[in-house]
Amino acid sequence: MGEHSMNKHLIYGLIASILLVSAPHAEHLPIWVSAICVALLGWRGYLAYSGNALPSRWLLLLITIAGVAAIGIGFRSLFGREVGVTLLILLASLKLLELKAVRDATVLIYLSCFIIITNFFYSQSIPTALFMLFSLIVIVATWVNLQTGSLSLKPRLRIAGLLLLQAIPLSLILFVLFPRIQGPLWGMPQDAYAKSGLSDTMSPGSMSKLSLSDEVAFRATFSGTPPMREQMYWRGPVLWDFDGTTWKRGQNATLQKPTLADVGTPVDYTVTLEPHNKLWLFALDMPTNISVSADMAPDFQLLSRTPVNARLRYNARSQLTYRANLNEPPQQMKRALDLPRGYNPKALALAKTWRAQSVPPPQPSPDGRGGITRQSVEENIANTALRYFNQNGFAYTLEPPLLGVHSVDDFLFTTKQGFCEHYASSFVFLMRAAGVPARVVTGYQGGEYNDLGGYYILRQADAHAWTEVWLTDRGWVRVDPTAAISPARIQSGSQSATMDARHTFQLGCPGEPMEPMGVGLQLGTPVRLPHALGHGRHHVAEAGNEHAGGYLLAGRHLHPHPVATSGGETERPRTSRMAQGMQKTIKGGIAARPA
Amino acid sequence: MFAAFKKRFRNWAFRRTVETGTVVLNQRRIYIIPSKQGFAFAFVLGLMLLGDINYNLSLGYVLTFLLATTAGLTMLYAFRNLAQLEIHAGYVEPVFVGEQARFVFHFNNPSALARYQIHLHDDAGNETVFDLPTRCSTPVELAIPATKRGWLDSERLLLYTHFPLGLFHAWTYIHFDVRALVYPKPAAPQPLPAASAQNGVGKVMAKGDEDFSGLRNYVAGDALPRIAWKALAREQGLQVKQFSAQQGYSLWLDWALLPNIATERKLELLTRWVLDAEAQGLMYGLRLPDDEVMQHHGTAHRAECLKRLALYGINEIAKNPLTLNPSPSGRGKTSKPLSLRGKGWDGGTLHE
Repeated sequence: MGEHSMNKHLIYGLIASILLVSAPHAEHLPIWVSAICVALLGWRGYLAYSGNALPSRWLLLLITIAGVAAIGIGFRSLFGREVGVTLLILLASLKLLELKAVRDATVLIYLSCFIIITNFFYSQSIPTALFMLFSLIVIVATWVNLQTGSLSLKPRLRIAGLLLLQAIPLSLILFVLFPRIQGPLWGMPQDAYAKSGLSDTMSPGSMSKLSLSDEVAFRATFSGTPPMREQMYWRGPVLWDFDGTTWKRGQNATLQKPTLADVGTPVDYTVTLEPHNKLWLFALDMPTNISVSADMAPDFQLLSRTPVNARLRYNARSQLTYRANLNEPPQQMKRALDLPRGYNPKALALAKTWRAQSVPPPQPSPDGRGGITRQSVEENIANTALRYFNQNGFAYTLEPPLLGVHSVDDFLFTTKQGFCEHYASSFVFLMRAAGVPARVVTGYQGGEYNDLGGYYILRQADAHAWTEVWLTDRGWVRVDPTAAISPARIQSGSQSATMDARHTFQLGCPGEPMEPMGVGLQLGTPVRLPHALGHGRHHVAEAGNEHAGGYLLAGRHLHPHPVATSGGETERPRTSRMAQGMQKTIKGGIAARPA
Repeated sequence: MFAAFKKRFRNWAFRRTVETGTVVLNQRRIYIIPSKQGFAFAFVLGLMLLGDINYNLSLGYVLTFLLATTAGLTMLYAFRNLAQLEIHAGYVEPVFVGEQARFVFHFNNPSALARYQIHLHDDAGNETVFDLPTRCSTPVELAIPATKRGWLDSERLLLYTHFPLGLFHAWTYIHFDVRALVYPKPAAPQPLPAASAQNGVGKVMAKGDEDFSGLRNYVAGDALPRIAWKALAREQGLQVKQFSAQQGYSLWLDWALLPNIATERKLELLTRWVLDAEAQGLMYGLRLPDDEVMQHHGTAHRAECLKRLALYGINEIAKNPLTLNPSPSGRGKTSKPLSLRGKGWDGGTLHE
């Protein structure tokens, strides 16, 4: 077999095929790769035209090694989708330069077909489909040439066109009837999955991309009355361990099943989870039942037994009011108080002062349950922290400045800009520093209601991080420190949160009274007011009220039961005076406002 | 060993009798299996489908199914490329050992469909590739080297096509009752037997110069007066004048006159003599141990003599190639259901 066995037309056909299938990639490929490929194809075309000998094996080997090395350096990897496509195109161009046997040509034809498919990663539009058909005709015509060397171009194109035309109806039937297996099938190439998604680590900054992704995380349908959006905290990974920069799940120090006390009416719903190739399943705080085989971690995290690599539908039941894990084992408590040494000295000092302020002078009461209980001390500390966020000009932004080694210190005292991760991370740090057990919870918040489908759709943009503090007699209580800064985010998703944040929080200056901020909020979110009011929710109030902070924790987050549900549920005696007071302030606030 | 087994299997699985007349290729005799490339393509399609599923590419599904359907369709194309062809065998010119026997088959394509890239192939690897235009008959020649005197059977031939994409191998076997007569290879030029003169009947006598018929190269022993001195002077080498002996100059090319050499050598020598005697225009007869051709002259006579030489020692029942025993030395392997050309026996394919 030699050059003579390959007629010129076959080589031109192969060059055309490779050019056609690679052309759509030109915009993704590094420019130098495109240039090299075009040069190689041009060279091959010239050699075929002039009848000169092919370059030597050594030269080709050299070019191949150099090309692969350059791609490896350029992409910093030789694995992955983008790199794979780039390599494929480069190697196809090179293969053409060592075309010897019919087999080589066959390989190139198959490669061309394969490269077409890689283009669909980027575009699946109708023009792409038409272009695919055109490329296919050229490829098949070249392919026919491989079998009938003597045939001229026109009859070959006719055969190819006819063949494809006849194949189209049957392939469309196949396309319709073929059972769709929900991918991905394998876990190795990570880019097979949604490009963004929740991860089980959190270092402030990593979630900024998430907020911009419109990809669907899951959909939820409620079988009864859906809870308020503000209550829709879809629980994901719970993060305990902090090493100064990153929060991790760590190992739970107990096998004890989590317990809920004083539960209310359960909420039933169905979740259709998009594959994310991780174990965790999402459920509303706090889940009690799930219809698929899953484990409940001691921190109420639902974990599937196998990675979710196909769309998964499950029914779940949650309690929205609860007292969670009242008897948390001491080893878990130790984890919830653990802090890395040598980090964030200023934040530590600040938390210590809060602690000192909150702890009352020693009481004669021997049982410690005198006038001020331990519980209220913890509540005080949490409220102080929230008030701190509220009153010190903290702003919500999706593009926060970078933080140094002492990330919490930098955030609390220097940048004061960030999103949920920054607030959750700092809040938990402060709580632990002040001796209140706390942990970070990540997941999704809210959801967009789809009128047609009757379901809530949760997108990656709805990813959120909040916290839980453990209070004596209350167990784990959810606190969303971001809400202290940006209620808009909780109300209508992060997109508007950034917008509102720009308008609202830049106004708030340290030491200034809350009034301007309240006004800003009102202006920013006037439509949501009645909604929030009708259900006794407190965002509006928290910003509009002079005594912001106290109720935030007590009324909305610490209170084990909704203060006043739409179903007219009566308040439990446990309702704290604080909450009642807050109710009043809310009502007052509302009354004061124009409708 | 494996090759032998494969051959045995094919003989068993695709047993067909030898055919005469015109063969029409119908679906009963066209077989199709995916080729190696076909399997490779199926593998590529499998990869593509995996990619589609993994990355959920709708257009990828379309492409994959389009290619798969196209590939499936080419099976039909491959079949159609052979179907309905009418084939009959043509006359095969006799050849000498060492030449190539040109088997001619007439392929008639009665349909309006042009046929491409049809391969005609024998087991020894001789091959011819041809296209068939619409509605016409095309003679197709398959050259098979003649390595042994006697009958050269075309054997069962493989007719296959990979058209249009090489993904399927569509084939049929054709085995016509057609064979080529292979004459023994003529020995190096030798003087005609002098012995024929002793015989008295066919004595070669110089009757004068009037019947000069040509020159031939000098061979030791030629009479001096016969040497063409003029030709030598023209630097054409030493040549001897030859004279035709139309009347009465006849000789016997007699097996018995030959020295004690191998049978095949004797036949080669006799072949040479027949050719030379015919060329010199002599009346000549052929005497073989069990056969005799009366003295005569002319192309038909020459052909008859050569045929006797070609078939010397070969059982003439072998008219039917099915029972042809191509092994005159009788190696005793006659139990094969189908004949094998001598080449097959000597080529070692069976003994491997």
